[in-house]
Amino acid sequence: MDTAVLRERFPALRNSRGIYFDNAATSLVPDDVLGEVARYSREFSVNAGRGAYSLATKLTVEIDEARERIADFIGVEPCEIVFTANTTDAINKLALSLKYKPRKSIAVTHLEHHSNLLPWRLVSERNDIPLQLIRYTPQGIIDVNHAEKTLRRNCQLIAFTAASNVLGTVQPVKELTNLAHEKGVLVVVDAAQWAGHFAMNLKDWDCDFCAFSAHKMCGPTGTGILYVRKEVQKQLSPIFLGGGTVGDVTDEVMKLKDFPYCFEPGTLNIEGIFGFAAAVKFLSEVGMDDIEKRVSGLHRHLLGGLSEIEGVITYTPKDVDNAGITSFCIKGLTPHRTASIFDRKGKLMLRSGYHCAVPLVKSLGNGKGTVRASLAFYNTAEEVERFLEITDEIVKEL
Amino acid sequence: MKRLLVTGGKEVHFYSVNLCNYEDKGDYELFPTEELSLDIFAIGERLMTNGNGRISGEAAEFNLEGVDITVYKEGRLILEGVIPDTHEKAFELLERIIESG
Repeated sequence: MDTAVLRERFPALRNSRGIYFDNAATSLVPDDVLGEVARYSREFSVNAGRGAYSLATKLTVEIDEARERIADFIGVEPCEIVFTANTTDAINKLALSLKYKPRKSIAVTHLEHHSNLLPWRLVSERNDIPLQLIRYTPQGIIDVNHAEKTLRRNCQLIAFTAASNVLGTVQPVKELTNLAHEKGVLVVVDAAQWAGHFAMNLKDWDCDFCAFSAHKMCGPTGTGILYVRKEVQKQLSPIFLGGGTVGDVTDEVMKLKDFPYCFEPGTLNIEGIFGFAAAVKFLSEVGMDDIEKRVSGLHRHLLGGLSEIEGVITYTPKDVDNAGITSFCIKGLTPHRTASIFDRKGKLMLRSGYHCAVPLVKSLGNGKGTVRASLAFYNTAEEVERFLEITDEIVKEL
Repeated sequence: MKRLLVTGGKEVHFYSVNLCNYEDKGDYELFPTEELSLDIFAIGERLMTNGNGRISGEAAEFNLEGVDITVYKEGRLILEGVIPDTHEKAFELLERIIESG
């Protein structure tokens, strides 16, 4: 699809409010998704399930179809995905729902976003389970040798990111999953920065659990997915119950519904789910291979150009597969100051600070955080050029 | 968080937004509800010590009590490394910078 035609489908790009390079935080939303979100209110505005009127029944079917579409997009069965509010919500629900073996450790990596670090730390503290930290290499990749050693040490679960939210580096998911499964260790993948940039086939990854958000893949905010492989669903016990999660309830007994419904208490974010399914359809239309190629090309252009500007420190390693994220600093400027100058000079939207990954950013040897430029498939080479021009201007003015 | 301050003889509401937290520090952005016209040269002269900082056409940048401060003339401020990490401390610094009162 031609980029100009593609960009016409995004209201935020049609209105030309500036250059948006904060896609790792939230991606832009196309008309198709906005239309579906509005369609719920326009055509339904009722609740799903347990209503013996046709509109409620029709809505139930539409939610099932949305679940099927999203499941198909990631190569799993509909009964394996739980609707959540976002990735953070999904990982927390998972961490608090799992039945743990006493004294067997949990492993996470130094590359994690707080959302895939703190829930495990909480579990570790509450259950007196050791938490092990796996190093990353200078290339921003999880150190597989160190992971191997860590998994050998009486480990029960490993949680890691598929792509770093600070460096953008793509991780060896399948290799780590195989390694873990050889040792009988459960695998949790945080795919927040992967989804929307690369094709997803969770059966190919063979992970046990995976979490991601709609709002980083052209969907609306407030909706996410927790994938739980069918074979391990019995290892979870829901922590939130109520409407929709149970079958029979007596004074003595409650009979939980099957997965995933027992993990979806109360009314779901139905308009969000409509939008999520539309986002998946939209991405499929554009084509995930095409999306990957576009982002990869733009990323190389941006990182290559930035690396050539004297006075810029880049933290994102070159020549490593990347989800379109570049972390950098301009010598002599603090990160937030830098981002505010980009905003004023070119209406260029960048994120700055620690990116909810304080241990990782500190390990980069930077005491004040970084500036992060994150790309999406609807960005253009002209925007990258403008970004590089402004960077050059800022450096020269120092 | 919102706070009513007096600057240039008039009352102005300022918002404080927490940008980031790390160690015992916080980064904050403060901005007025209406555009101001701060004398950033006067602010710079008053608060820069030993030439610590710089003033360009639209912003003064300096360090005050270990906090990296950027003041834009329309009243937007960025404070990086505020200790203690509270909106209260950010407003306290703001008052000193714009000489509220």
